[in-house]
Amino acid sequence: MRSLKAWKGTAGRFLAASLVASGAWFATTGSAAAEDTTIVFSGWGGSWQTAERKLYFDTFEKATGIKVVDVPDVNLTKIKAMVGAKNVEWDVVQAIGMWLPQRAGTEELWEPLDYAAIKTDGIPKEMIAPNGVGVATFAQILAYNTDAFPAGKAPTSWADFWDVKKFPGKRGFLNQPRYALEAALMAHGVAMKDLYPLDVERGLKLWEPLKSDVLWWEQWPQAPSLLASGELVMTLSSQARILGLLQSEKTAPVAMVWNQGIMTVDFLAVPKGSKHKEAAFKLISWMLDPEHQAEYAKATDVGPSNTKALALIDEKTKERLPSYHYQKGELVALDNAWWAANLDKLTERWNQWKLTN
Amino acid sequence: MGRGGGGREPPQRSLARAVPRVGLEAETSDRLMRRFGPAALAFPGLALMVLFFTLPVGVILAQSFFDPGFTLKFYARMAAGPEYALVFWISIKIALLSAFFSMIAGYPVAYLLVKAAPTLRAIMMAFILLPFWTNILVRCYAWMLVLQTKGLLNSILVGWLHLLATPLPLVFNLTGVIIGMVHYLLPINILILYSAMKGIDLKLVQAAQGLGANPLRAFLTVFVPLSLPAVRAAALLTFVLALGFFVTPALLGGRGEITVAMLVSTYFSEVLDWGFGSALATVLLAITTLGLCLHFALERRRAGLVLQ
Repeated sequence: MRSLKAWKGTAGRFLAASLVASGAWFATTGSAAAEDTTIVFSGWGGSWQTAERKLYFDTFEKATGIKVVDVPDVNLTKIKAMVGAKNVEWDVVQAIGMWLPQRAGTEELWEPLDYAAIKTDGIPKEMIAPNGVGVATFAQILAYNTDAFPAGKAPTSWADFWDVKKFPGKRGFLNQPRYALEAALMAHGVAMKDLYPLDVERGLKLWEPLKSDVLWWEQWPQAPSLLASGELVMTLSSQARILGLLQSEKTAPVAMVWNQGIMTVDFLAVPKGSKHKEAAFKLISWMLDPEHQAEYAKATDVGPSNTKALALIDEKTKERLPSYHYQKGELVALDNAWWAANLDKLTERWNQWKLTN
Repeated sequence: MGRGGGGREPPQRSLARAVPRVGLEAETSDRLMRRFGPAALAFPGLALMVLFFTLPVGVILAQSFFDPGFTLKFYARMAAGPEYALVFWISIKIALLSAFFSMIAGYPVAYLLVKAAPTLRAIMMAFILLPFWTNILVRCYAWMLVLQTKGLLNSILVGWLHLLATPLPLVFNLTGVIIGMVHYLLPINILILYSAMKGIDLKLVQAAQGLGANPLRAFLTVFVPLSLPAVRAAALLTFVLALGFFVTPALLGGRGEITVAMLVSTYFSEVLDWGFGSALATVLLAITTLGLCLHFALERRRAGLVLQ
């Protein structure tokens, strides 16, 4: 009865999911009433989740009989509200790494994962946390307009981003301290391994000479579009978006640099109070499987977390994946714990800096 | 909450059964009507407001003062950082400017609506309402394409017409924010102005002309003064709406265009500091309420003067 109630809540909240939801409800009550066999996955939506549906959830349903309903627009505020209200509607969540460490003034939002039930073969140690496990990798990289900088004259590192003389033109960056501080410090000689803890004040100061050359954009989709239109000559962007743009528009004048990119990891986690933990762990296990991850990476350019998945992917596709370039030492991993611990202070400092400089 | 729901029931039933007046139900509804009069009709709306407005606002208020015991630390933090006062000022400035330009653009349109023949009016209305159905994000991205340095407008001005040597900075600054916000606020503004203006007796303007005033003078000395209450109401509502914007300033603004609503959104969804987010929202609400009170006080004084 409780799960039925949670169901209705989900359906009400997510119009798109509601059709699937009611269908699944009829299916489960009709056939296997004894088994509690429907779980809700919340992810980022869009083409990435469409691929997850096809390559992870559909196959999982077929193999286990456990139904998966996937809903878009995962966000931490909703999770905090659900956990606080003790009415958790999501069983597996695709979380950015920064969401896992407990924040000051916030209760624990995640169930501990049972690693007896979850197979982590091939997952790097640093991606296995008590309350979450890495599933996919992304790279935040330097991208540039090839009309402005043709081959041979193209930027190759963050230092070139700061070199306004050699590479003139408007630059773009995400309007957040995250990545901005990392890029500034790397551009000025800080080695990847020495990046954290970040020297915040130095990083902010390094941005000041660029003041009139930078457009601070707000949303990730803005970057490739502003770059392709020539509004920006170079910008931070995500590797999957640049590669995606080049795949749909082969002649788009954009290119990207792997060197000094910042790798972020998406984790799978179970919100505290989920009513289907066992089934949730099964789905997590399924999504960590190297073969499944390899298929997903081929379809999306999203990197696998499982190192064994890379072995199943051809060289050409591998070149497109953050995990591969991270192994080669070209990328630095974002320090989630540091950011989670410093986010509130830095949000304040960032706004203050923007308004007073 | 159960009570709120219960309070909603009887008047609804009384409305539904008002036509076939039979038996006990009709008697109950009659009693309700006799006791509360037409006020009973307001119950459903009132219950809805309590449930979906007053309660959430109460929660926000409480969150800004308790953690978990009573505390003023969120407000103290806001007072300690001079950048917060600046953000409030920026929000108010943006809201004032967008309300002002909405009025400038909306007033003539509303006037034309009043004067137009019914068919033309219907067509105009359709075009005014059309942007309403476009998602705000889509509009922002569209404006970016139109306004950026290599965008549509600058290409025409610089490339085709050669009116300018260098493109105008139209977006990712205050100009872009105001354009985007006026675009959003204009239909609302026009509708408020129109609904108030259509109550103005156009025969008075005709009379002024009949007595020798030229059309412009008749418009300025008769129609405009009569429309001022509408202008004040529309300006106020537009301003209040504009105070709450966060998507448009975020997407079309530059680094100086930080609004309170943007901060509230960051503190709720990113930092998860709901207490501080609530405190910011509460101060914004207080400013809005103060503005409304001022408006109504002035209106009352004006009404008093007219009666004298």
